[in-house]
Amino acid sequence: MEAKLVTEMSRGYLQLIVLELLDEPIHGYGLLKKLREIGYDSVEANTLYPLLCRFEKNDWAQSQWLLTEGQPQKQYKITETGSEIRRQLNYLWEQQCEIMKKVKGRLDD
Amino acid sequence: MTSNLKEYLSEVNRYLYMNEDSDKEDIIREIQNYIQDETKSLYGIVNEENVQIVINKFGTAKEIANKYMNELEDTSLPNKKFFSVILGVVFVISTSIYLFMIVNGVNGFEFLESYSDSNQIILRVLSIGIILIIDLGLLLPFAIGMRGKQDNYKVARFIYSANKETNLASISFFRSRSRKNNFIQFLVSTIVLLVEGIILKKYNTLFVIASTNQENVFKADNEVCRVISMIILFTTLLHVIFYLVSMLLHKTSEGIVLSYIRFVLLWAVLNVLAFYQLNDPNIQLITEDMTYLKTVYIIVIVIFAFDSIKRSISSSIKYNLKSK
Repeated sequence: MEAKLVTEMSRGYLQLIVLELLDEPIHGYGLLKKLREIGYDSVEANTLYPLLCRFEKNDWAQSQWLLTEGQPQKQYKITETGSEIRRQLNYLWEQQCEIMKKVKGRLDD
Repeated sequence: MTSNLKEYLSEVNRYLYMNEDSDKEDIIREIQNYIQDETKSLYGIVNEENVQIVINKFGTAKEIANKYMNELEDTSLPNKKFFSVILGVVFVISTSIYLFMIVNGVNGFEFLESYSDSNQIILRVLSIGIILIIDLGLLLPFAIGMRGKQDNYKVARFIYSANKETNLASISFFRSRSRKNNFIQFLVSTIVLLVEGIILKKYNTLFVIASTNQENVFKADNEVCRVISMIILFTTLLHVIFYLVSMLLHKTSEGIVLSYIRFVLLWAVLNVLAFYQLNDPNIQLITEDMTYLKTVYIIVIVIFAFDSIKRSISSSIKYNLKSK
């Protein structure tokens, strides 16, 4: 599949997935590892870190520098605004899944 | 920290436009953490070789800076609005003044020319200054650009955002020039400066025509011509400094400020030529030649002015790596 198309499709999902994973404070690298663990191998660090930066600027996430094993790490956590955005994105996602099911069902008929 | 990582981070730092230095520091520290963590995780040992592999995979400094700036672009909207409003207000005021003059039959230029006839040099400068200020708010970005480093970044980001919308970044003409081109421009400007300096020293004016048929040298050396000659010399000197700084610093914010300074100066020269009539009895004999010279010079100024705008745009989009 064309890389650009994959990037476009993934971008929307990635935002929602990251918002889902920000319930507990987590640092960027920890988040990256978690994403890889759950099978999201295609995510690149150079996409994730700028995305987290935007989340913070948009007040979807808040950050704090904490010492982890003697090393300062920037920990992210979802905010109330971020939770609301996540709720809306989840609703949108479910709607689109329904539409897709209907379209596929019609094609099968 | 390994030396290549240090170098890489300083390069990212250089390419990042951020309104707040603290945001920039956060990003740099986070990138540093990631590269070190990933190297440790993949290879166990953090040495130059392993770090370089992770850096290569992460992306070039320009690409990374660009990714961050693209992500943060939406959040810079308040700045965009702020600058748009200010520029809009100045534009409306300037246009209103011109419309008022047209509707009421007032010739503002005559009014200013009456000042320009004055013997006092300060009134002459003032008359040009007034036109400069009321003319489309040209001075505004220049003034903002001169205030400080942070504001330079704001101007750069504003132009960058505007470019993104108009998609000028995709036009190769607006891409930044290479260092080699800057060096060539520097050399050419220096030679022109030297030639101008020699002519000015010898004839007191740059408006000199050496006839090939006769041995006579016609020169226009009234006060106005001398002032214009000095401005031309100064403009060329500015070009030399501009290219020298571009070569040495290769920094965007300074490049934009220099572009504005150059543009404003060129604009001033153009207005001097437009307002002053070169009607000194001494040069009446070569009026036709002077008209020719004026025309050529105005064309040159328009080209340079356009080049200044182009440079401002180029400086602001040189980080846009979405080149095809």
